[in-house]
Amino acid sequence: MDPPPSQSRRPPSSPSSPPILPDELMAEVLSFLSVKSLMQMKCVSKFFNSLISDPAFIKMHLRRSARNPQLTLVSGKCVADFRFVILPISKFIENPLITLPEKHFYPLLDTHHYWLVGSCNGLLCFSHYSAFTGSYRDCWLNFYNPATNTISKKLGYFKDYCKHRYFFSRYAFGYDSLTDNYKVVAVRLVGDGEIGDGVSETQLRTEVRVFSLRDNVWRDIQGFPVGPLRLTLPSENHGVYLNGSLNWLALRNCYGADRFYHSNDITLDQFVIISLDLGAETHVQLMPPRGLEEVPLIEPTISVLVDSLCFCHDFKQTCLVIWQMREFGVGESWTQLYRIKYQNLQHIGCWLPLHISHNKNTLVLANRRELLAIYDWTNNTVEIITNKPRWAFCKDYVESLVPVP
Amino acid sequence: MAEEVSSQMNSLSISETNPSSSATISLVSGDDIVFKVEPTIAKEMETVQSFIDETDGKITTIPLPNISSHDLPYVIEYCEKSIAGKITKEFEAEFVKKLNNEEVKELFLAANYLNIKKLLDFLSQVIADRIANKSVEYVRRYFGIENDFTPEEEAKLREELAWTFTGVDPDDEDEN
Repeated sequence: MDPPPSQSRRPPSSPSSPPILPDELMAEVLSFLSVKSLMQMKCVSKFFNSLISDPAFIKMHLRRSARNPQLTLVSGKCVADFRFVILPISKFIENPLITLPEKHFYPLLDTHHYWLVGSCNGLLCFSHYSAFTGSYRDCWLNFYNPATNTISKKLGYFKDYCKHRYFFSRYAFGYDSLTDNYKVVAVRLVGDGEIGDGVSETQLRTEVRVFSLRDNVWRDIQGFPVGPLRLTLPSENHGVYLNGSLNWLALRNCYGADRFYHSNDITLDQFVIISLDLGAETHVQLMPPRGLEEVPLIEPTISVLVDSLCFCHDFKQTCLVIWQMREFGVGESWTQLYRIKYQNLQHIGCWLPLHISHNKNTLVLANRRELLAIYDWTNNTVEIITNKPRWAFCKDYVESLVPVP
Repeated sequence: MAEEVSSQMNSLSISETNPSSSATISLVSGDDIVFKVEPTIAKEMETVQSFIDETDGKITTIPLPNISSHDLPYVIEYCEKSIAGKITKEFEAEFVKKLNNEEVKELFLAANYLNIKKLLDFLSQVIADRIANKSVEYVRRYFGIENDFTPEEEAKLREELAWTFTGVDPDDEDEN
């Protein structure tokens, strides 16, 4: 019987020669380092330089990095006053009195307005808009990796047309692991009749286009027969990304041409979640939790929290209810995670959960008055953060070496 | 080659002299020291366990020519703690405090050879922590890597990456 095969390149226990790590173990070690450290280590040797740029290594590093989730906190309600900061969640919960950098953190281009569309695998996607020219405005995208400090050129340029400004395109950003491709999805509400100019009653549906980063081209795909909510403003929680899908909370049989959430005019069976598979580019309709007993007065939202799709809504202006879809796509798996009385949050109304810790004890919430709250579920204590800047919304973020297109 | 023969002979003699010890596993280090461990410990070491399985458990003395008698007790200690579910942050901090840079690398190679995933991950993190934020020269020394860039190539790369070279720690005295 042979002894277990030797993998080491050197004879054992020879104290004169220091141990040399084989390449695959070197990759293992380096995958635990921060992006900044890795950027420096490109200078160590040609092998280090090529390893740190290798797609397989970049994926391995991303998997490790995902264990240290961060938040991109965005300040400013209007696009002109938009600034953001990135920091680890643990650090934020310890010290939420973060100050924004004086300057715009992001290397601003010659752009009229821009907006953070989404964050995926360490890449941030921004949409840019020119000023309105009649019914048109110019739009384009770019992609930024803050960790490697690299930014793409302008991509996906197109002219967006609409007579009514609520109906310009909105974007969402995600990744398809099957084809290893990043995609931006643009959705635009359309009506059967001519919208705007006094026309207010038209059944709404959604035109959908997909921008593939690999092909650098927009394509039309099958539209949604519904009207996604929260398209009326550049908004935080439409088109949420989860494991290769983008998801929108929407209304079926939706009429109107304005801000179309009016709880009195809506019935429960109108709510639906549209889930677009970024690989197949086909969508399915998922039902919201059955336990939703009545149409919430305030527009409900969906979010990705604790790695699941969550449905968040107000209940009779007394509490915030958060449901978790434990098994993605399975309607029966909706479970009520929290029911938090507003009195425990010291402020009534309109709370939006930004983050839930893995042990589910700590929640970070924001509300429309731009207060931020860190709520401790086990002790039922809350810390309200009212300092400026006031946070508008946040995106999950992980540091990565993923190259910009 | 001579070493392998000697360790096999060594293991033979041990099995003969300890016929009743079938419940325990004997691990024989590269420098021929025998460590008796419980079978549960062997299970943590995938390489050892698959060797036992291949021989239907008939052979319980395992030569480990790549691992020294200096490193093996550390591996065994870690596996014992792991089985007992007592791998805490405190234990890990104490565990690595005792190890200098060369020992950490030796142990890392041992964990890889024995295929102990938890120990391998832990030591990856330890080594990463020890080189994080260190200068390029320090990292080369740490791993015994020769700089194969030309001075021009290196200068160009450093210039491109200049923005990352802020807040680098001063080099520690190399421990070895």
